[in-house]
Amino acid sequence: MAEGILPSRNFGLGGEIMEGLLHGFAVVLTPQNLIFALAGCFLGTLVGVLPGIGPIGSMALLLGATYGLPTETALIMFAGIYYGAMYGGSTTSILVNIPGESSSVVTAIDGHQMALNGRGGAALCIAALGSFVAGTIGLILLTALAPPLADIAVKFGPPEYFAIAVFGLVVLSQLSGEGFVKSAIMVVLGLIVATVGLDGMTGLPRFTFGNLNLQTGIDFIPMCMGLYGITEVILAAEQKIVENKEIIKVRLRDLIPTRNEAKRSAGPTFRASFLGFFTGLIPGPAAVISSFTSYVIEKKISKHPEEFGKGAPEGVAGPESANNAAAVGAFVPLLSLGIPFAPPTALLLSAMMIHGITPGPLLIENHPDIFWGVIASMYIGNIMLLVLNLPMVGMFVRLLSTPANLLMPIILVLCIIGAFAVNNTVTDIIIMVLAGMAGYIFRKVEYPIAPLLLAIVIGPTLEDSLKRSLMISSGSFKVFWSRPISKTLFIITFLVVVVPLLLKLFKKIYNKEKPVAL
Amino acid sequence: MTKLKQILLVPISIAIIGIIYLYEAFKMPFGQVNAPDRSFMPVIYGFVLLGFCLVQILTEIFRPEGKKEKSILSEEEAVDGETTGPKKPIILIISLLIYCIFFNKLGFIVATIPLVFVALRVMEYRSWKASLIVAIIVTLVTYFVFVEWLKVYFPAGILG
Repeated sequence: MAEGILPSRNFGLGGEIMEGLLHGFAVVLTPQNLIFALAGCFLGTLVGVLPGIGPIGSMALLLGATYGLPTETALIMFAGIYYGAMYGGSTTSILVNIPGESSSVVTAIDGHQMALNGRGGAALCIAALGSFVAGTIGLILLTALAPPLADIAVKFGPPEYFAIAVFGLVVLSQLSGEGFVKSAIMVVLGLIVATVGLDGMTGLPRFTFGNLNLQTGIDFIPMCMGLYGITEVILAAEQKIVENKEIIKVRLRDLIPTRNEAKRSAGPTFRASFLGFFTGLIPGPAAVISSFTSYVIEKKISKHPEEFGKGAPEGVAGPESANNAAAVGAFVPLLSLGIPFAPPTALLLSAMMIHGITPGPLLIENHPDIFWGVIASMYIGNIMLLVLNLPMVGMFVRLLSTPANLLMPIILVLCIIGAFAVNNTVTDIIIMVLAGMAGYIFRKVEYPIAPLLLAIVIGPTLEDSLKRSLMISSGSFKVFWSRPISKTLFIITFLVVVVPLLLKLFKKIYNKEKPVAL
Repeated sequence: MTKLKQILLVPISIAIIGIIYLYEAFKMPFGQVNAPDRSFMPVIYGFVLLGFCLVQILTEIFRPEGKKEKSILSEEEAVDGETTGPKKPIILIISLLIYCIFFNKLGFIVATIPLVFVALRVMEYRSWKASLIVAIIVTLVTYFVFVEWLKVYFPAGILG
């Protein structure tokens, strides 16, 4: 496909978006791209079904499969792997009560209860349809929001990028769930890893200890393979072999929900689509947060709150729709700013970089085939997933009966291939093994891994933009206050840190003043 | 080791990494605020890391007795279900490190078959014979998919 700026016909922003989207469909609707989009959705779902690996691990494992493909095809396939893995998680939650990924934890509450009540098929259908509707609504919002945001981002200078990077990392630390300080430690560790290699400004090596392979820096992919894939393999080696859990069987005719179930699922799906999408724009584990928030909201406003936890369809439709919409929302900062706010989109960024594409505000202008091709492929992938997931659910579930002691050595080989293929050097395998060891320890001591991974990706942007800002301003930090966007972002970042601390303090004082009940 | 000591082990270890990192960073030029050099950010990161580690250490020391974090290092309180101890993970990690050393010399196929075999045995997969057959099949299938079909390069080693 030829790269270049799409012919501008001055139809206004809406017209440009439509034109771009049609161009994207023209890119995707070739036999090769369609086959690889389908392969991506299939592989993503297949690996996403496996408990413990989750979307990030699945994506890292399958990244190696895209190396030999043309750029658009590789990214279309990889995007398919991403949302395929997001879809896959719900199946195990509902039928086996084992969430395939953290964002499906809430789905397991009511989904599995529905399955125990003989409504497993309906729960799967509600989850798949909810994911489809939410994914499509999310895509419409992404199509509408990403181009104008990219237009604004073209005007961003180093201070704005520094503010965005700081904002992303601080919010991520605050939301990671293991405590702010622990997450902050992991963020700084990630930033430290990102300093290995050639210095961006001087071009001289740092922390390479004479190793030429380290001069290109520590790659994100081997780190990801290690922290997710190898860690999982090591943890599995440590676990006692247990018998497989009983899997509830679902027949094709059981998939159709009753009229009442469909009616009760419609509202939550619609509400969660918007909630999920906008949560996806925030740095951090948006898919998890949005699914929990949706569950709480639906329980609060439901006419049958007593049914929650006992098999309420709203408890499946809301969280599943929310996490899929959040997955789409996370594409906005990646495609328009070039900054990933979550590990899965960081992996997508790496996939783009491997194929020589630098995401950011100029992506839409310089690589319209990629930008619109990926977005269009997601519309098609959403339909493919619906068609794949429902009739083939039995096959995906059967995968769960594959013994872990056979599966994990296969995952080990896939990790090795994925890590080695990035730069064709054994140094990356060593980095992966060391990252795996570190990940194993961090998992044991409950230090979150996501902030570390994200900091490795955002680190170079953070460093480069801070240094450039200081050089522009002759060393004055006022540059961050004199520009409205960076000033606003710093104020929000400050509030994100201070408000929870103040709330904690007030709660403590209030509890002290409260007389103790005798 | 007491529970508190175990919990403090992590931030202290990370702080030691921070000190070594700072030591290496100080060997490089820092520059000035208006012209930052190579160690400008590493020095900042090093001190910030030490600061956070200190806060974590103090938090753990002064945490009220009732709210003490569970010791995650002790086996009886393991969070990830029933475990068989550290022997198997250590065998796997050592195998992986040996694999890294011989990967280029032996090539993908010759080096990977024993690694997968060890992994299968560590995870108690059926019999020795079945493990060997699976190890050979897994290695050959992945080799043909990635090298022959997807054109990913691998060192041929002694087979080349």
